[in-house]
Amino acid sequence: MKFSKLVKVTFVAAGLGAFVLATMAAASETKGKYFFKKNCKTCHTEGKSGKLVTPLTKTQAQWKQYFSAGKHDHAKEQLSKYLTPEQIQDVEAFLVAHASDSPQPETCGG
Amino acid sequence: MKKLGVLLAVLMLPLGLWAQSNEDLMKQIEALKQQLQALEQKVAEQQQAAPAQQYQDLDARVAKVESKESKDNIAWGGDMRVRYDYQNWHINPYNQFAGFGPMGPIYQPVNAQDWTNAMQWSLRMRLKMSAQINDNMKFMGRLSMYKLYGGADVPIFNGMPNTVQNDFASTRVPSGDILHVERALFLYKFPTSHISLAIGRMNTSDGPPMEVREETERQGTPQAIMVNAEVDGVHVEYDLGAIGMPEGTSIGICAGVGYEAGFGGGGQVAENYTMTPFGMGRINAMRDSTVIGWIYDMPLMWMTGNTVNNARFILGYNRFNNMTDIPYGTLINFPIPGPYAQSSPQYVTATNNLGDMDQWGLTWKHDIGDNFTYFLSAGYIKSHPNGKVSQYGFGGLLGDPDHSKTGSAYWAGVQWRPNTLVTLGLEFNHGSSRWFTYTPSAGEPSDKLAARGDVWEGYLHWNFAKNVALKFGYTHYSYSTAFSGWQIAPGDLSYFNLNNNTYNFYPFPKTVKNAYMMLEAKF
Repeated sequence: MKFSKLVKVTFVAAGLGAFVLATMAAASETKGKYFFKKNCKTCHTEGKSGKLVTPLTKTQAQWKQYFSAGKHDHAKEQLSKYLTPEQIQDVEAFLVAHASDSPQPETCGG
Repeated sequence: MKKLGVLLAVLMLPLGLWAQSNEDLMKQIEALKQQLQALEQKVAEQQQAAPAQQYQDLDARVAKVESKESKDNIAWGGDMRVRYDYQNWHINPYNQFAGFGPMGPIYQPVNAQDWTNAMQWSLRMRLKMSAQINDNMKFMGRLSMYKLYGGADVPIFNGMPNTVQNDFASTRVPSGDILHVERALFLYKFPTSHISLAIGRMNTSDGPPMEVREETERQGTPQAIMVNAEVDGVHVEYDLGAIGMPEGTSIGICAGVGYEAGFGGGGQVAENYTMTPFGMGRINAMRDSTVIGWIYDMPLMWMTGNTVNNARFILGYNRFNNMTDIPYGTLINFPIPGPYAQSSPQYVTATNNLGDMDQWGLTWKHDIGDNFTYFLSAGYIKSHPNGKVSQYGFGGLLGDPDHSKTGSAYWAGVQWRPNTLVTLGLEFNHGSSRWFTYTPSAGEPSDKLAARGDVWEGYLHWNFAKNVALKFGYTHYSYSTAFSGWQIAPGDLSYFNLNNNTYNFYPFPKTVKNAYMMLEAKF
């Protein structure tokens, strides 16, 4: 095989591999942020019925433990009442990635 | 009859024996019952005692954590980076200023040349700290050390702004093994008013959209194309989400000081002359150099099909007042090679206020799902010179002390993350021949966002372990005009087109090729 052909084949294989990896299903932080705002923040905001909850409310380990228990409202109900299993995974990915012990934005607004 | 009696007695004998054994059995059962009851009581006592013991153990452990927590006022984090750089500078032919003769300035022609530094290693360590002072007030800080391998504490001035070590870039260009204070500020959120205040040495470096290339959270407030420097100042912000704008939208007003004229020199007396390279110069009676500006910042989020879009729109304005010619700093060989050149470290400082400048910036950043990001950023400046020039011989604001001039720049980038381990990015920026931006903290061998010309950068990041990344990149600078990064020039900048044989003080490069490799860990 000529060297140029080998290079082309390598690039095509690498591209295909990357595409396959890109399309593999995994928990999505961006979706998690969206569903957290859409489903959770409607109540968990200052002045609303639920206690204020932000990603900073818990550490990474605490969020993982919370989602592993899968309960809501002091274990009175299932989390699945509000989110589908996929949404739960996405929201967990978002909250863990932005937990109080994760890197935080550093701006003049805090 | 007697026989019958004996027979009955024999027959009754087992019944007596049975009655005897039944009584024993009952006694045994009773004893067993008592033992069982005692055992149950013991088990119950143990069951009652066990949680109490567990709680005691837990309490002891929590108390230990609380004691430690109460003593740890400051939460620490940080990062460390080892970087390799290869650089090649190509310098077109030019005429080197060599001093003054009887008929005026003397220049010596210099041929085209290449300068290569095939191996430069550097080490950067940053320690981040924060402390919650009370419910509304927080302290944030960052200590940084950035050095080249080997000794190169005081740079040789080569015409590039980052070879003047100064307060605005002390931690962002290599400056030895000293730990500097890069950031130190208070953040105060006024209760129930949606207003926050930040004051101190501010988060004003590596602002948006620099976090895309750096693969981190947002690192600063001002847009990187406008300000990338360690600025001491104040910032007041109002949360527009409180009045129905998208959550996180804010408007902020900021102010900072660029040059303090009243401490130890300029401004305290009206008339004072001192030696400059060109003779006696009036360096005092200067005014403070300040900046005041505002920034509108709006995050947006929406869903198209199954894809979540995260975007951010930022619009900002700064007014630089009483700009000076050069910052206070340390270096070797400034300002002019020749009789005034010094081979030992020397200090330089501002000699004049040159006027004001308006600066506008706009940024749009858009994350499409988890795998793709692009951004566009643009800047525009307009000078308002006051007729004065630098007493080092470096002219007035944007090279013209008498007329207002403008400059512009744009910066675009894309990033693709095929998986969680690999990131590929490509960026391009262009600056016009009079473009100036205040970005001495860029942290690169050459400040790409200040370039007058075109810059391409491509990079690949491999996040091979949690919080650890190996980064490869290549940056190609193609300058059109000399004095990139400077707000001053000895004459109109059209004279300093690097395609012509310029008459110049320094060998400004036409092209710079910079290949780099970094190992970076966050902790």
